[in-house]
Amino acid sequence: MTGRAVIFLLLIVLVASAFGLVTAQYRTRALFIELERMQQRAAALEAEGNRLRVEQARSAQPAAVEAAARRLGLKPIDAKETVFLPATGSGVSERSTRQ
Amino acid sequence: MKQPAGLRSVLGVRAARPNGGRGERIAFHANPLLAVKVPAWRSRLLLLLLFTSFLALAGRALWLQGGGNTSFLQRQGEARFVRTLDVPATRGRMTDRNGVVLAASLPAKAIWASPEDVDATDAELARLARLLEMPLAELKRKLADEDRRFVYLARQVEPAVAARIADLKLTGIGQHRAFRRQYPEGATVAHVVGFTGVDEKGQEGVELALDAELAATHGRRRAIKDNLHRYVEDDWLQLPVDGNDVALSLDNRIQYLAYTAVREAVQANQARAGAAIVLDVKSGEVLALANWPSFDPNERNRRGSDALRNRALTDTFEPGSTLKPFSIAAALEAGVVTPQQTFQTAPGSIRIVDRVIRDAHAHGLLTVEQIVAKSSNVGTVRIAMQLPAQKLWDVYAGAGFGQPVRVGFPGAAAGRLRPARTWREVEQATISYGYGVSVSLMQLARAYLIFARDGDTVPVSLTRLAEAPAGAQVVRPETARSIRHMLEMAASEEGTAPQARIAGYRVAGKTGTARKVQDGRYVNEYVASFAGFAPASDPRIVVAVMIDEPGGGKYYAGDVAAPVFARIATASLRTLQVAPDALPAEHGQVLAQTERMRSSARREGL
Repeated sequence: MTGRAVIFLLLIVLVASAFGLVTAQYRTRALFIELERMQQRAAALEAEGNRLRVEQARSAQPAAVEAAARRLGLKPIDAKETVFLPATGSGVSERSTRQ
Repeated sequence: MKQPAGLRSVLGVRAARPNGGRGERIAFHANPLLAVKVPAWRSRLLLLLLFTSFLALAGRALWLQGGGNTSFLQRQGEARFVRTLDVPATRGRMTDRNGVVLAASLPAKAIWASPEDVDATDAELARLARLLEMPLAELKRKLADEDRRFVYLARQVEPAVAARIADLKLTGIGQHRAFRRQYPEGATVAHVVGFTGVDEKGQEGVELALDAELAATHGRRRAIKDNLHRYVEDDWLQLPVDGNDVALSLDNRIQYLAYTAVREAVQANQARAGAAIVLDVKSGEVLALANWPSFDPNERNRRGSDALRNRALTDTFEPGSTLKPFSIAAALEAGVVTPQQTFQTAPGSIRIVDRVIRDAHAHGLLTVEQIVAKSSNVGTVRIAMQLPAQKLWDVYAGAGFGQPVRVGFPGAAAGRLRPARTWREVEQATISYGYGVSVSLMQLARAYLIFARDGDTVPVSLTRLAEAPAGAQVVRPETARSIRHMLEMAASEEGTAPQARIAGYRVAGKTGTARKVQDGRYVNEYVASFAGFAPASDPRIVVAVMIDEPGGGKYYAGDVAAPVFARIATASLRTLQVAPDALPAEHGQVLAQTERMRSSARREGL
């Protein structure tokens, strides 16, 4: 009688663990798929970040800035238009420009 | 057992009907067939056969599972659900010292074709050719060779364009992942940054020099797919490793200014080429290295031309007078002269053995300082001939002439400086004013670090340094200071390069106008160079400029190279926010003007 009870108990445990295994496997896969998606997204964002950095560097190119400045009618500083202010006591020289 | 009539009919008892319909009933168990005697061995045999078949199946199954050679089946199984995937990793970025991107890899697509499978119409091919920016004839030529199973149509196509190509849905045309290297600054830094090939391997410049650092290791993994074609498990064969980012020592603003200055000077003087270098005096970092002619590294087609050469590093020239300060420094070091000592340079020529060395103008009695400032060949030769050859050689070699600049750059030239014991007397004379030695512009810039610093030198670096390296002494600090003073005179009204002066700063530097050697003879073509530093009171930058074969009528370095120096130095000092050390004498007056402007602005309500 006790023998049978033990076998029955073990059977229940076996079935339960089998279900557990299946569930764990399922969850592993679901999480893996999620991870995979996230990693792809990270790679895409990284690539996009790189693209934007290149874009930024291209727009902020000194040549582009100069061209834009010239369109606005600006011109490079000339020594004649530079005002030199003598250092006052502290020994630090300041300069300011004015047109 | 009595059964209802309906059920009985279902059981087929009615089948007996055709027998008669006489109402006689044959019981099921009384079927005559059952009465046939069957030998018992037949059923046993059948049982045995069934049993052995099952046994054979079980044995076979066991055999396939574990016994013998199972690799074929495993391969077949895996082929159905396991994929080996390439996982791309990105090549490192290259930035300037402030983090501005100079080179970065962006995803792109490689477009390939399998010519035998392509059955597109001419109209479709024309559309494809337009998207690939390729002449239709060339596309057709690539597709003509039907024997080839695979041909690349384009290796690095923008993702947006690739998507439009995919939309054409042409059979036999496929795509796979690739990268495309982008160089946002284009031609400005092309010579330093270099470029990569289609396989993203460095081919020129820092891309080649630091390829090991920048290169990415592509990963590979085995992944298992489920029935929905999603990857559910994986196993890394090789982890992908992105390349490391590299920060160069360049400042892209100074680089741009140097590049523009060189380009405009070469064009204005109808010169063959030009180059300029800006070094940070404290750390030896290269803040700018510009060459003209240049090229756009984003374009692949017209490479391989002369424009690819990084002249500042790979080309050597006889510098002429820019080397004079080094012979004077050697004389000061050896104690054979003092800065105020006078030498007779009249009548403007001197005979050494069989050679007559001349000055451009006769100067008469000059101090050592004036000899440098006015760039007198005769004076320099008179001083240098008092020196043992080895002493002169020591300073030249200490300044780095004759040895390639170790910046880890492919093809950096060593120049030529022969050992002192092989010098003949006349050679010692010519070498003292910069002939018979050849240097690259980078060597010249590095050598001037000695005078810009207090007689010591630091290695030149193309990458950003965390801290300044320790210097190695070449000449005494007093010697360096004396030369600094002489170089400041040279860049003044009484010197050869008044055009090197800039507003607000004291500058020091030396011109060099040297004849070029062609086929072993000096010809009427010149290299104009200028090397100098600023601010002279506490030097922050060394600037070296070289203009090759100026052809616009002017060829003196004071007219050709010195203005380029002034332009680059002004812009660099402003960019680096260096405090001026030479306020104009009238600054008090300027200040008063400013006050007036300010009050008038206030009146106008600005």
